[in-house]
Amino acid sequence: MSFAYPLGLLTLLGVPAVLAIHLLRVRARRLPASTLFLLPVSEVLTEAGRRFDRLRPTSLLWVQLAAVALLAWILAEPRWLREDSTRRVVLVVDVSASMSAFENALPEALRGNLDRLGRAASRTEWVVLASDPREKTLYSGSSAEEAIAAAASLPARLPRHDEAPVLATARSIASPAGLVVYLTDHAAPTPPGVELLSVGSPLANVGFAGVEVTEEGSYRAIVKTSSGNRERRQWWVEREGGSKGAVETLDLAPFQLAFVSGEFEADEERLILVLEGDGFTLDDRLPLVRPRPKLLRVYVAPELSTNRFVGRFVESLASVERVSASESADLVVARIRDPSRPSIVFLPPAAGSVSPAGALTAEKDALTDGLSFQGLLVRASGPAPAGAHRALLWQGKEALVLVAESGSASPGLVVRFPLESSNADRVPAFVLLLHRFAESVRSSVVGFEQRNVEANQLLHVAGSNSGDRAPSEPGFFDVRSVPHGRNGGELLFRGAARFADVRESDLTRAAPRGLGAEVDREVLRRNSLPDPLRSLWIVTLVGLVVGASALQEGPNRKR
Amino acid sequence: MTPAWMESARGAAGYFRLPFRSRTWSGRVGSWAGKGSGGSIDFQDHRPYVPGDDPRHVDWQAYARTGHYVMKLYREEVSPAVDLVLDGSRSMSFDESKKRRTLELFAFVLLSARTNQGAARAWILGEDGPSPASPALVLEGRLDPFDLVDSRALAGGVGAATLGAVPFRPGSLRVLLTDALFPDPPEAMVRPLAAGRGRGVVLAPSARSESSPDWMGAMDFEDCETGARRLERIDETRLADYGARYRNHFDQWRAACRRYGIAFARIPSEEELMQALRERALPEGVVEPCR
Repeated sequence: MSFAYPLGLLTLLGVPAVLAIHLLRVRARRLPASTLFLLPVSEVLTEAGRRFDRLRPTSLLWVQLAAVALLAWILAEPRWLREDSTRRVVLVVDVSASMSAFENALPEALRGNLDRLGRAASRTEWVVLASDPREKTLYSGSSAEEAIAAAASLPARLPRHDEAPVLATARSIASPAGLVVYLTDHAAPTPPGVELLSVGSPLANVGFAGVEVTEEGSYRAIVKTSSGNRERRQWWVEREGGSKGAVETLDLAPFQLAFVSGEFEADEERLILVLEGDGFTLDDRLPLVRPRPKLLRVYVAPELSTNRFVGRFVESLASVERVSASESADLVVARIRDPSRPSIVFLPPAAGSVSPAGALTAEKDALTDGLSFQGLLVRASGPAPAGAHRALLWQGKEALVLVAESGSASPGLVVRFPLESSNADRVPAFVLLLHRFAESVRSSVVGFEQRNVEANQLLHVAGSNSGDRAPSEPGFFDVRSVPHGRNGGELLFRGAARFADVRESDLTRAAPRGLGAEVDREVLRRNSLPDPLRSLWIVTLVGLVVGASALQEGPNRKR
Repeated sequence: MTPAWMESARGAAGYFRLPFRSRTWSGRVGSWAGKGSGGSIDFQDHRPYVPGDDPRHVDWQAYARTGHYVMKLYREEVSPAVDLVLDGSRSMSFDESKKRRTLELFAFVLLSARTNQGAARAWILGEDGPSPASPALVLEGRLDPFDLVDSRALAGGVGAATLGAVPFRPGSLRVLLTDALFPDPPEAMVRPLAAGRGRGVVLAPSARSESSPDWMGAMDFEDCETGARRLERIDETRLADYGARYRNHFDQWRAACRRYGIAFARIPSEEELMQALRERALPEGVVEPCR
């Protein structure tokens, strides 16, 4: 048996109310009497001054209690489930990082609500999905306890993400007769057909929100206060070996940003900045490594070694080593393209070339994205490069900058105009284009690199699996090369992952919200049979009310 | 100015009187049949003449027929003695209607006695025993019996000893005006009314607030006789129990009066005096119609 309107049972609070009214001592009416000798002294002679009286089981009391109980029964609308009724409930668990603050509250909140949802049909099929579309179905079955365990098992570590695709999937799994519940920590707007169950509550949080670390070993971290009140936190440095630095105190105004800074010790490669713990722990530890960029070996062909622009360009690249032989270079800068090496080719001016005319147009490409080449003046165009290339920059019908097709042995960027007779060195877009190409070459070089990244950040580590990601929790991690036989396992990347999604660390808007009673009321109606004696109870209730009124009016009327 | 209760009693006395006709009386010469022979015109008997008889009562016609002196005897006519006793307990003036009804009955008895040549005496029962009250002063409106009642009120109601102290005249009509609301057994109370060849009548004024009280719930009672307080919770059951005890109490009074040949009538204070006497007192023989 279930109740369509369980709140109706609150009417039973009338029972203690009725009892209290009957227990409260009524102020005695003072009256002279001439026939008291005909009235035997009662057993419970009430004492003056007592506020409460012994409960006397009068007819009025019984009638009132029966009326209250019957009213609760009618209002709660009991229903008996049909044995063949089934219902599918799909739980979509928000796995964004903010939910980690409420991991402990999750099972209990789920238990209370799922018990109720389970009563809306004889058999309930539970499906648990994560809001992360990459996750598979966490649970599918008929056990509410197992569904709760599955929902609570997945660590919530993702940055803010769009849950709409998973909710749409859940909606289709649930079918129109089923129910989709989005389990999160704040009162998020939900699409039609999705009910919200929030287990959050407002929390004050202070955490690291970003950091800047130099190769020289100095760091400067941002501490963000997500609280409407003043907060005080201690912070310190944990070094390798477990030693703890001096503890310092931060006094923070509401929603203040503060900075903490320091230095790596000599030869120190990693350390952890620690903030005094609070309800949201992901941003309380900030692991840091001393940045070690990947080395890029550059060979500049002799005919360009005296070119002032090329010299300045190579010098402007970070972590570069100039090599004297093209065979050992990661990037070749030359007049002629070497198809076996990634190269930047500045073609010599072609004889009889004419100055290109027309508008400058950049093709859509990662290298040119967001760059404006307006202002670039080119006096002449070079010859067409050998091999398959596609143009990145046009002037009129002349391709000024080309890039080797992706099917080529190695990437190549071809500049098809003489630098000497152009103003390219003063056009930032052109310099940026060269830098982007050089960095793309660097990223494809297999070599060691050490840097600080964000948790869950997608990594491009040459020589390892494509699609590596930083860990979802703050900490240090290594990426090694894909082993080939005995070789392999070479350390390619050493990183420190930090929590960096300040939207998730702001828990001031978290708020609890249960499932409304109307969620399963309609389903319960569909899956159950009403009380066949409801009409009789209503008539009986009316009779009891009239009876109680008559019993109460009787003595008053006599008076 | 004549009080209203006196007017009411006077009106009732025109229609009803005390039960003088129901028996013979003794007393001074009057107009009611006495126990012996007298000077009335009502023939009673014949007897032979004996020396010393009044020759005016010789039946000469009988002497003519028989040659013997025969005396004619006539019924004696007397004025009955009426002893009125008023219960002076405070319950007699429990409420205004009952007080008025008591006064009306008091005056009615005295008026009835006076109208019918009865020799009336009145007594108020108080703490210090019976005290006389002048009927003449009451009927002239110069004395309110309750002025005496209030000053002599009994705290515990009329007792048999108190009533026994009243100097009833032999053969008198004894009228006890009481509400009978005291716990003593009624036999002890009514016995003095029948002693000494007396004829007793009990007039019991009653109030609806006593027979059907509006008690319900928590009640703080104050005994009108003693002033004692009692807290009680009254419900339907207790009220019904009280009603049964109340009826039983007066049934016992009625039975005790019947045992001693005493007429007993309860006179509700809510009805008109004429109506109450006609419907309550007349059927019980407490009063009789004047004509």
